[in-house]
Amino acid sequence: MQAGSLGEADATGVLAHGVGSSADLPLPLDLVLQAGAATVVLSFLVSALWWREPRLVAAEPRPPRASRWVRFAVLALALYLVGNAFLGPRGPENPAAHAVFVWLWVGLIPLSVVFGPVWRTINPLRTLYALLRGLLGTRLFGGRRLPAGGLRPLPPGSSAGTWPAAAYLLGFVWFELAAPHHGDPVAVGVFLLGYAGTQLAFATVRGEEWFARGDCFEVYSELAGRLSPLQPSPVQPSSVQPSSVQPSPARFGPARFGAVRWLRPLSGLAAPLPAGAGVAAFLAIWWGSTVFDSASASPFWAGFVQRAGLPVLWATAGLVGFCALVFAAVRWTAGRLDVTASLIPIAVGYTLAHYLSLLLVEGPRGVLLLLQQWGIGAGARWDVVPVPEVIAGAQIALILIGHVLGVVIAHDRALAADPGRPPLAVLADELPMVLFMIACTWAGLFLLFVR
Amino acid sequence: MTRPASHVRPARSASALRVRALGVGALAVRALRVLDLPVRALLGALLAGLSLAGCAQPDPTHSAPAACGSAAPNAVPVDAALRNGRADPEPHRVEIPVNSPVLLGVTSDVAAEVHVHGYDLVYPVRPGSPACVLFVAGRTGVFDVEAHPEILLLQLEVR
Repeated sequence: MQAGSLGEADATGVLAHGVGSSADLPLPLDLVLQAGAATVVLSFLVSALWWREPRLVAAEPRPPRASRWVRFAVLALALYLVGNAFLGPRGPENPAAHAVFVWLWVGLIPLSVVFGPVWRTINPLRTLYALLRGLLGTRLFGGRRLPAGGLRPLPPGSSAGTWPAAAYLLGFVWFELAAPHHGDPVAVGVFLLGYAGTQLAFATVRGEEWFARGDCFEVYSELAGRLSPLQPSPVQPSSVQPSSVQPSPARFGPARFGAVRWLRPLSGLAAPLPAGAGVAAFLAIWWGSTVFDSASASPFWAGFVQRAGLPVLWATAGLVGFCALVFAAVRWTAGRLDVTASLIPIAVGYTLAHYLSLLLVEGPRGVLLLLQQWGIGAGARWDVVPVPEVIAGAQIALILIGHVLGVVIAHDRALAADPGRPPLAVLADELPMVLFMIACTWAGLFLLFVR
Repeated sequence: MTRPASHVRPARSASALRVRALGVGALAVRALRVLDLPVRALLGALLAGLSLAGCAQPDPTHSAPAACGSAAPNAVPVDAALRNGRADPEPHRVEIPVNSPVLLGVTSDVAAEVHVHGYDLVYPVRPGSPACVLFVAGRTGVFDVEAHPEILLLQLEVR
C-alpha cells in the first residue's frame, strides 16, 4: 500500500482505485463451461425430480440481540470515521473508503448470512436516533418528547414498501461506481453526512420504523440475513418489533445474550417478503450494480467511454440501465409466482464471488489503516495475495450455491402455491423463473470469465 | 510509506530478473491458453460489438511506438500512449508471464501521472519525455495501468 508518487502528486486519485477495483484473474474457460452446464442440470434436477412436495417451513428472520455497549461502540466508530474523513489525512491512508466500500458494503453480507439481519441491531443511525429522542425528552429541551411513531406517521393499514431503501441504494451504488472522486475521504464524509442527515429527518417524520424500509443497509442486511441458519429466540416482543418500542433510553436494557436456535435450512427465504415491488427493485439494483461493476472494469467499456467522452454521464446511464433491465426482467417473469425471493441467494452468491478477494485483501488493510492512525502497529502490512485457483474455485462455488438455493426456493414456493397441481403444470409455471435464474447465473459466470 | 523517488522501482533481486525456464506446468498452462484465447477473443469481440456497433477491436499489430530503448533485453516490452485524453491504441489487455520483468513505456501529449495498480507504482509522464518503468511482475492478477485521473491505458494480465 505504498505510492511512489512524486512531488505534488494527487494522492486522492490513487485511492480512488485502491479500493474497489478487483484484480482477480479471469475464470478459466473449462471451469466456466462446466459450471454453466451444471447450472442447467441442477436447475432441472431440483425442479423436476428431487423435490415433489413443499418442504420449507417459513420463519421470519429476527435480528440478533446485542448489548447496548456494542451499539454504542458501533456508533462511536461511525462518528469517528465520519469526523476523520473530514479532519484526518486526505490520502490513501484515511480508512474512510475502506470502511464504507469494504467493511459495510461487502463485509455486511457474510456477517448477515451467518448472524441474520445484524444491521438492524447495530445500525448507528438507530442508536443515534434513540439517543437524540432521549435527549429531546430531557428537561433541558423542555421535555417535549418526539412521538414514537414520528411527527406524521403513515396512516395505519397503508402498505409501506421498501422503495425508499431502493432509492437510497441506487444513490449509494451511484456514488460507489459512477461518481468522480468517490475514493476521496472528504467525498465519503459528505456522502455519509448527507445519508445520515436525510435518514434521521425521515425517521423524525415517520418514526423509527422508517429505518427498516428506508435505510438501504438495513434492508440489505435483512435480505442477506434470510440465509442465516440462526434465530434468536424471542425474549419479548418489543425487541423484535422496533415500532412498538417504548420511547425512552430504557430500550437500551440489559444485554440478553440468550438462546439462539438453529433454523431448518432456508426457512428465512421461505418467509414472505415485504409487500410491493420495492424489494424487487432493491434486488435489481443490488445485483444489477454488481454486474455493472464487473462489466465496466473491462477494457471495452473503458475504450467506449474514452471515445464517447463524458465518463460520469455514461457510467450513470450504464448503471441505471443495467438495474432497470434487471428490474424489468424480474417484473416480466413474475406471473402468479414471483422470482424475487430467489434473487436473494443469487445476489448474495454473486456479490461475494465478485468481491471476495477485495474483502480478504482490503478489509484487514482498512483495519490496519485505522489502527496506524492511532500509532498502533506502525509498519505492519497486509500483503496477502489470494491464490488464483482458490479464488476461482470459491467464486464458482458461491455462484453455483446461490443458483441452486434460488431454484430450490422458487420450486418450493411454486409447489406450496398450488398443492394439488400436477408436477408438469408446476414445472411449466416455474419455467420462466428458472430460465431467468439461469440467465442471471450465466451472466455472472460470463462476466467473471471475460473480465 | 516509503516513497521511492526514482522513475524505476528497483527490481526485487537479480535472480528474479532471470527469465524462468518453461517447466512442464507452464507448458500445460500455455497449451490451455491456446485453446482459451480464441474463445475469449470471440466473446470479447461480441461484447464490444454489443456495447457499440462499429467499434473495432484494438488492433494488436498497431501498438504504441516503443518509448523505451532496449535497456533490458530480457524484459517484456509494453508500450502505451495517451493522446487527446484517450488511450492509443485503445485500452486492451497484455498477457505477462508471472515473475517476468516488464518494461513499461508510456508517452503522453499532456503531463499526467501513470499508475500501475496492484504494484502501486506511480510516476509522472510529460510531453516529449516518455516514462519508462522496469518492474518484475511477481503478482498474479489483472491490473489496470491508468493515466490519472481515470483514463485506462491497458491492463496487465499476469498469470
